[in-house]
This record gives sequence, structure tokens and C-alpha cells, in this order.
Amino acid sequence: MDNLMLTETIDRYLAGQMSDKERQAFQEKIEEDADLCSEVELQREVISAIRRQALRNKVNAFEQNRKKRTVAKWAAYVLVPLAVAACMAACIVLPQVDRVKQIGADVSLYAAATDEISIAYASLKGQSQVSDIILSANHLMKQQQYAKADEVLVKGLEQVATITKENVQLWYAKEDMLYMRALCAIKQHSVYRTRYLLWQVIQMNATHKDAAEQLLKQIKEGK
Amino acid sequence: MTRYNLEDNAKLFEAFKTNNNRLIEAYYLGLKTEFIKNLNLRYNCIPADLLKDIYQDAFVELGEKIISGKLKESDLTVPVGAYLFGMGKKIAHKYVKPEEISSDDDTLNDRCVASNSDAYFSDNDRELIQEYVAKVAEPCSTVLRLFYFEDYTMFGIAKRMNYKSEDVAKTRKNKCMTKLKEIIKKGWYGQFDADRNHR
Repeated sequence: MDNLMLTETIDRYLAGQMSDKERQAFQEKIEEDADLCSEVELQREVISAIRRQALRNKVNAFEQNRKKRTVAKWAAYVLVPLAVAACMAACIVLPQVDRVKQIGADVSLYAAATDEISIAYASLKGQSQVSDIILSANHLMKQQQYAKADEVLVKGLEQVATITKENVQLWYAKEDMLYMRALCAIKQHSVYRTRYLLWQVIQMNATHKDAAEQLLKQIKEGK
Repeated sequence: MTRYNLEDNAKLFEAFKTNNNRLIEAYYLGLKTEFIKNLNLRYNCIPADLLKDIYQDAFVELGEKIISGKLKESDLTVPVGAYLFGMGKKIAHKYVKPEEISSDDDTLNDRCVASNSDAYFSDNDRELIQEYVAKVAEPCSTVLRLFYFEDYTMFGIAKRMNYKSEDVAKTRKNKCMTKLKEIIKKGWYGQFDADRNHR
């Protein structure tokens, strides 16, 4: 029997595919021939090893999949909620940015506010540092230099930071500066700064309170 | 996600016999934590990586016994987790000092694990055969796996491997197995001849 045929015969024997007569005959040969017995046992063990190797590859694949699923789970539990939160924040902020842009495009709003302030402080020019600051910022806003105007107003507000209602003139000056800052923030499309500054103006409960409330309402309606 | 009852031995046998990957994976991952925890409690000298390897070896060994019919469902009188643990301890004995192996370990082995004392090949020989099998190149590696593990018919193998006919597939399978056996015997007999020539 050649080697290939022997391999095939042993396969049939081990798989129980021989007839009873054939099996009995082969069994007798195995018992008489030590080399044949050795060959059969070797093939049996090789088949076991092939199966073990295949199973080992399988469980390695399970481990790889488990690692991938762990990463995916981490992504799902951490990244996805973060992404959702970011989207929600964007959904809240972006419409308001659009709204702020719309408000900022309303030229008449600025014209009215800046004209009002320039009239109010025109007569006070040179009389106090705060008046000069407000007029300077007003001038920059008319020239559409909102970032520079905001810088000037921030410095002005530092000077009146601790002012209370008792000092009426400076109290109103403080309110004017905050309101002007809010208008600059609208022009710069900064939602949070706009809302914060308008809220501060409303808290002061002075001249621009109604206008600030109106603006804040318009921004919120952008949701 | 479907939860499987890991103490259901019948399902485990079915999983291996039908090559149900999902079920096999569920058992593999489901039994792993408890196995490693318990083996670590028993032999805390064994590093964590090695415990994982021992688990893999034990699981693979269990699977092979079920597929080849060496282990029958009626033979398994304990939950598969306990049987697996018994196999794991036997494998772990290679890595621990003899004094760390307690006397009750052997008793557990007799009860739970089929002893290899009547095996034709020693553990060393079996490891050597395993090494040779792991190194088999393509296409023999695939052909042998399809026939002996995946239970493909010759028709299936011919189709999968693009052979002209079932006869070609059969011849290829037999050549691969014959060649593999020759390589293994050469590995052994080469050593045997070297020993003989030195006497």
C-alpha cells in the first residue's frame, strides 16, 4: 500500500467509515504490525493537533474581537455622549450665534444707541476721564472698530468697578459702558458675552434695562 | 445580547460539534474570569499572562476532546467550569514547584480529567507534533483545517480551494497529511539515528 493510500485508509478507519468486516480486518493488521500501529496513532495525534491549532486560532480571534469590542464600548460610553453633548451645545449655541448675527445686522439699533450716548456725553467731553472713554468708544463703534471699542470700555469699567447707585452719574456711566460692550459683543457675534453683558445691564435696573431685556429675548427666541 | 447558561454542558457539546462560533465564544469568554481567578488563588506564583495561556490551552484541549469524541457528554458529571479548572490545574503543574502541588490535586484529576497515562505519545511528543502542525504552510494548512476541523467534504474543499475535482482535493489532502507525518518522523528519527550512531 503506498503512503497516500495508507493515509486515506487510516482516515477512514479513524472516522469510523469502514464496514464492520473491513474494520475488523484492519484492526487485526494493526495488532500484528507495530509500524502500522505507530502510523495510525501518529495520524490520530496529528489530527488532534490540527484541531487544537484551529481552536487556538479561533480563541485568539475571540480575544482580538473582545479587545475591539472593549474599545468600541469605551467609545460608545465616553466618546458618543461627549459628541452628543457637543452637538447639543452646538444646537443651543449655533442658532443663537445666527440670532446674534441677525441682531448685529440691524444697523438702526446701533445708530439709535450710539447717537443717544454721543448726545448725552458730548457736553461732558474733557470733564471726566469716564466721559472721554465713553465718547472714544462711541467713536470707534461708529467706525465699526468693535474690538478696539470693547478694549476701551473694559478699561473704563475698571475705573468704575466699585461704584454704587449713590454716585448717580458714574452709575449711569457704568451702565452705558456695559450696554455699549453688549452692542460690541453682538457685532462680534459672541453669544455668551452678549448674554452676560445684557444680564448685567438688566441687573443695574437703569436706563437701558428695557432695551437689554428686549435684546436678550430676541437672542433666546433664536433657539 | 443573548445570555447563555454556562453550566449547560449539552449546549457546549453542541457548540463544538456544530462549530457554532458564537456559542463557543460565549463559553470561552464566560468561563475565563472565574477560571483565572480560581487558578490564581490556587497558584499565585503563576504570572497573569501565563494564567491566560493556561486557560486557552485548557479550553482548546477541552474542545478537541469533544470534537474528536474522546469526551462524551455522559462522561462529564460536573459543570464544564469545574472540568476545565481540573484540566487547567494539570497544565499549571508544569509551571509550579512539586511542593506546591497538594495531594488533593491528583484526586481531583482522577475524578474530573481523563488521564493521559495510557496515551501513546508522551506530553513532550505531543508538544512536538503540535509545533510541527503550527508551522504547516499554505495551502496544506487550510486543506487540513477544512477537512479535519471544519468537516468539509471533498466537494466543499475543491470548491473552496478552486481545485478541478473532488479527486484533486482528496489527493491534496492525503499528500498534505502524508508529508506532515514524514516531517514529524524525520524530526524524531533524525534524533534516534544520531543517538544510534553514537553508540
